[in-house]
This record gives sequence, C-alpha cells and structure tokens, in this order.
Amino acid sequence: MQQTSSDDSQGSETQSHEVVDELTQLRQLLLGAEYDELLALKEWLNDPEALSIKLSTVISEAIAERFKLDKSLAEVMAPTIEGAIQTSIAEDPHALAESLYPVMGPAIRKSISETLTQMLENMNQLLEQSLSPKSLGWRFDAWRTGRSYSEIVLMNTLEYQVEQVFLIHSETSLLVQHVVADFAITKDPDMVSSMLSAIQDYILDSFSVGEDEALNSMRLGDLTVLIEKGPRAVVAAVVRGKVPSEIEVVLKRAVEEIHMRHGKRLADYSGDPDEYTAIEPTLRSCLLYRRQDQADDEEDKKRNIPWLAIGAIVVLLGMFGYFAYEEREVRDNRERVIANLTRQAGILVVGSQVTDEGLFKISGLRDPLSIEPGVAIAGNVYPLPELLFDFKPYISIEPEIVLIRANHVLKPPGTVQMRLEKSTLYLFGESEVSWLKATVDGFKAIPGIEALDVSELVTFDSLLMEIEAAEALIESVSFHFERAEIEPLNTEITIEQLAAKINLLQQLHESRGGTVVVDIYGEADDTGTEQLNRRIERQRAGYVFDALTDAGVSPDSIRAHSIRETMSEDTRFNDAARFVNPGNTHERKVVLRVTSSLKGTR
Amino acid sequence: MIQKKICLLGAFSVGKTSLIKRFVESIFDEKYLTTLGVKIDKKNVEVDGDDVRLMIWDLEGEDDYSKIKTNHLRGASGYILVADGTRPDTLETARSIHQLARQTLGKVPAILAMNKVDLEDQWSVTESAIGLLDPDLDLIRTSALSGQNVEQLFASLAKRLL
Repeated sequence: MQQTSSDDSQGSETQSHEVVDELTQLRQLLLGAEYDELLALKEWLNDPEALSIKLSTVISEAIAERFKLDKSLAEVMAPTIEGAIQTSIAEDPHALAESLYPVMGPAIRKSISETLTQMLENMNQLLEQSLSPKSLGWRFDAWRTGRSYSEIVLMNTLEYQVEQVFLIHSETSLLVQHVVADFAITKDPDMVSSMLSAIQDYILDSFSVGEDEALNSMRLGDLTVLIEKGPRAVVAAVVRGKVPSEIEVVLKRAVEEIHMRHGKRLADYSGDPDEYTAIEPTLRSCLLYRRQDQADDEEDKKRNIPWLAIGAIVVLLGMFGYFAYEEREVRDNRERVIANLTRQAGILVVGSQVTDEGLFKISGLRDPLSIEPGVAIAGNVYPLPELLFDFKPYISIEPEIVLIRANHVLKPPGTVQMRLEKSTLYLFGESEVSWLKATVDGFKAIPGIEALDVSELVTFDSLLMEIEAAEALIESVSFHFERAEIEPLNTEITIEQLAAKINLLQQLHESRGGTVVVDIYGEADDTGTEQLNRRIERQRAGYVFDALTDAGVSPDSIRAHSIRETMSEDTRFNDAARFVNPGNTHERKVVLRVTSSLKGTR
Repeated sequence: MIQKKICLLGAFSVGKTSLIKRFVESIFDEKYLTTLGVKIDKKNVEVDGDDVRLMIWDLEGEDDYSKIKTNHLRGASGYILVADGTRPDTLETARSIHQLARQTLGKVPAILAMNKVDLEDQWSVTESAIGLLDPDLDLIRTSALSGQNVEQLFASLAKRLL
C-alpha cells in the first residue's frame, strides 16, 4: 500500500517538472529578455544584504518625504529611540552625559535664574501688599465690608478681571456652562442666566430696536456684563474694572469656537449641562485679568528692581550674619574656657554640654590642690558664659601639682627652695637638721616624688648651738672670795641668772633626750693647810650649790666639789687655763664645769 | 442635572405668584415681575429618581391692558396655566393664553391649575367649562393659601417633560 503511494508521488513529481519547464518556456517566449530582469529583481528582493544596500541610497530621502506627509514616523520611531537611549545609558552613562553636558549647564542656570527672579518678584509683591499703608487700608476695607482680605487685594490691584462667564442657550435661556474666577462671588448662575435673557428681551421690547441689534453690554458700578451673541448660544461675561476692548474679541472667538464645535448639538439642547463640559476650557480662557502694576511692569520690567525684596533679603542676611556671629562668639568663648581649663595643671576636662537651663556645664577631674576653675578663666574670657563646673577630685602627678603638694606636706622653711625633675625632688638653701630628717622620712608618702636630692642643701642644728652657747657661758662663770671667806666677793653674774641658764641647758638637753650635770668646783689659795683648804673649797662650792638650788635649780643637775679632792694636781694646773692663774698657784674662787651626754659623744 | 424652562401663565391676580412663592428658590425681588414683566425662580423636582431643575418663568398676568410677551415663552418645555375658580373670566383668559402658547410653543406639556380650591364652595366655574378648555390639558386643583397640590403640580409637569 505504502509502496504504491510512493510510486504515485514520484510520478506526479516528474509530471510537475515537465509543467514548470513548459511554463518557463512560455514566459520566456512572452517576456523575452525582460523575464531575466524580472528574475534578477526577484532574487534581489529576497536577498536581505543586496536589498539593504539598495535601500540605503534612498532611506534618508524616504524618511524626509514621509515626515512631510504625516506624523506617523515620529510615533513609530519614538519607542525605538527611547529604547536606544535606554540601552546607551545602561551600557555607559558617561557617553550621553558628555553629549548633554554643554546643554545642561546653561539650561539649569537659566531655570535657576528664572526661578529666583520669579521668587524675588513674588516676594516683593507680597511685601508691598502686606507692608504698605495701602495694604492697611485694604485690611480696613476687608473688615468693614466683611469680605476676605485677598478679595479686597484682588479687587484693588486688578485693573480688570473677568469674574464669571456664562454660556446661555439662546432658545431656552438655560445655562449651558458657567465658570467663575477665584475669589469672585457668584449667585445662582442658572437663575441669573435666565434673568439676563429676560432683561435682554425687556430692553428689546421696551426700546424697540431692530431684531438683529441686541444688548451687548450692561454696566453697574465697576461691574460690566458683556454679552456676545451667537446663533445658538450667548456668552455673557461679568467683568470687574475697566473693560479693555480685547475682551470682546476674546468673547467673540469663544462664541465662534463653541458654535463651530457644538453648534449642531446646541440647536436641540436637552437641558443637560453635563453634555457640554468640554466647553469649560474655552470659557475658562475668557477669565482674563490684568493687574494694575502689570502695565507698568511690562514697560520697564528690566529697570524695575525689586528694592523691597532685596532690602528684606539684605536685612535677613544681616540678621542671619549677626546671629551666626553671636552664635560663633558663644561657641568660641566656650572653646576658650575649655582650652583655658585644659591648660591648667591638675584639671582634666572630660566633657561639656549646654544644660536645659542654658548653663554651659563642664565636667571632669580636678586635683584639690589645683587652681579654682573660676579663678583660672577669670579675666581671660569675655563675656564670661554662664558656667557650671562638675569636677570630681583626683590626685594629679603633674610636676606643678606635685611641687605644690610637696610644699603642702613638707612645709619647708623659707630658706629652702625646691625643684622637681623627673620625680626627683631637689632641695636648695639651708635648713635645720630636724626638718631635713622629717623630709627624708616623709617625702616617699607624696605621690609623684620617688627620690630626694639634698646635695645642695646646707643643714644646721640650732638647738645644739644654743646648748653650746649656754655651756660656754656657764663654764665662763667664776666666783671670787676674800681670804678664808665662803661668800663670793664678786657677782659678774647673779645667782638667779646662772640658775636660769642651768635650767635652760637642762631643758635643751632633755628636749634632745640627753642628760646634763653641772659640776661646781670650790678652790682655795695655797696659804693654810691642805686640810683647811679642802674644807674651805667644799664650803665655797656648797655655798654656790645651795644658792643655785634656792634659785630653782634641781639638786640632781648640779654637784659640789673640792677641787683639791676631785682633781689631780696635774689636771688642776695643766688642763685648762680657765681653772687657774699662770704660775701654778691656786686662787680663791669657784668654777663650773658642764658634763653632758652630748659632750661625751663629741 | 437636566434643566427645563417652564412658564407660569394666567390672568392678572389669579394668585400665580402666591401659589409658588413658598415652593421655589428665588433670588429676585417680586418687583421685577411688574417692571420687567417676568421673574425667574427655580425648583428642583425628582422624577423617577432623576432630578430635574425647573426654571420657572413667572410671567406678568394678562389683563385688558397688557398681553403676554411671547418673547418670554420662547424655549419653554412646558407651562402651567393658572385660573381662579371664583372668577370665570380668568378661565377665559387662561384659554386665550393657552392658544397663544400653543401657537408659539407647539404642543408642549401643559397643566391647568385651578387655584383657590380652599374656596371651592364659592367657585363659579363649572366642571363643563373647564372641560371645554382643552381635553388634553391636565387639571389640578390648588390652593395658594394651604399649599395644597402645589408640589404635585410641579411634579406632574416635570414628569411629562422628560
């Protein structure tokens, strides 16, 4: 079965080949050489490459021709161009940006400059209207008449304004459309439109003017009603102010336009205004107005500099500048305060803020030995801001503070100077040994001082010197006697004076923790017996002893001796010149010698 | 809202103005009626859910000295004839006005309002005389005093205008 059908198709193919050949022959017979041209043309049309080469020679002209015919080319190409631009931007925005760059700058500048000019003008007008005496009058008028201020302004600043425009159907006197300017007051426009027609009829009847002539203007005070008649409908405009002739032209055009577009429909008006909303823009274009100053503006717009606005801006800038300056002053002042405090030793500023009460609060750490913050800034900052200090105590080891603390703790005498260098305290001048001793013991307790250098310090011991002076004085005293007398002859120094000196010496030694004893040596001359002389010597020493104890000297501090009994001859004559006269002779006298723990150590 | 112009017609002092006074919106003084010969009022009426705005042209009453101004009739979609039931001559005037209106407006919807129904016992106008006026004319008995049937008067005319 399949075999058969295959055979059949083969057969028909051969058959059709024959038919095609015959047709070709026939065509060549009929068309001759043109047939080959036609074939070439067909081939050329089917080859996209060849076709595009051919079309490229005419494509520009073709586009230009089509563009003359209609706008379809723009519509067709718009999406393509949009797509191309989008692709270009997506790939590399810089290319387009660079191409646009020379255009964009001027365009932006122009736009900004126009906006600014506009703003300045508006502002000027606003200021003029809100500040001038004229505007006060207007406000009074507004209050008096109960109308809004803007309404009064508009009424007074407008040379004229078309407040309302009616489109009235001629046949029925019904209102077709109605538009009102902002701020204008309108009363039931549908009744008004009918009444307008009635009034027109009345005039027409009463004064029997010709049919074609019609009432085209009515006036009441500064209100004028302009009526522009068309065959089907009437346009009536209510104008406030001086009516310029151009309005009539505008109304005429509106009537013509309305009749051109809606004339046929208006012939049979159903009474439904909704069908004619399309007319509204035409009527709205009749709502003309002109400001009083507009005429002047146009004449010398360029020369008219908005001084008021410029003045206001200058004042504003000035105020802004002053406030900025003041603000800056305050800020600088605060910064100065902080800088001033930060400079001070022993004060650490951690933060600052303005409190709700408007105080400038500075917080941080302060060594109690540092300068008072208020004192630190006084005189350096003007005007002094309202300040609030919140400092927590801490111990500073800044050299200045350490030195103050050292003074505070060590209390050096005026003869001592101190210097701190790298935690070492250097001492200069001279001081009591006792103070130095205390300093050596105490300096380690002061934070910030690790070592003490006293190499430049000269020390002295005033107590010791006093003791030595007292001792010298006591030992220089001697009492002299008449022969065989035991009461002293001379009184270079009174017993009381001596007693006081001995007591002082006693106290001085005790204050140093030492002991002292004063030996009283009685002495007799070489006449008489040894035994007698010894007795006289004891008596003479005893006399002084008694006198001293009577004068308040403790008996423990003094001892009475016979010099012959307590000292060898050698000691008596050779030890010290003070004891005896030269020539190894004894004298009638009493001398004093001091023995102390201090003397022993020397 | 669809607007329709209607006229209120009738002889002098049949109570046309009094009839509608309480039922319409007006911004114009009644003195316009005597000076201009017309006064325009407005009345919104609902007909089967649709609002219709009637612009009512109240025309000066006709008497021996003044005739209806046909100019004012122009463009009216319907009219109301008002006659005084106690004064037969007003019905006669209504008839002549009706004819005038028919000539001017063609066969538009019209209603005859026989006013002063509150004084019906004093009426000297017979049913047959009313019937003779025009059989196509709808009749409504109204009272300006009580306001009886006034709303219906406008409603039924408005219904016929659509």
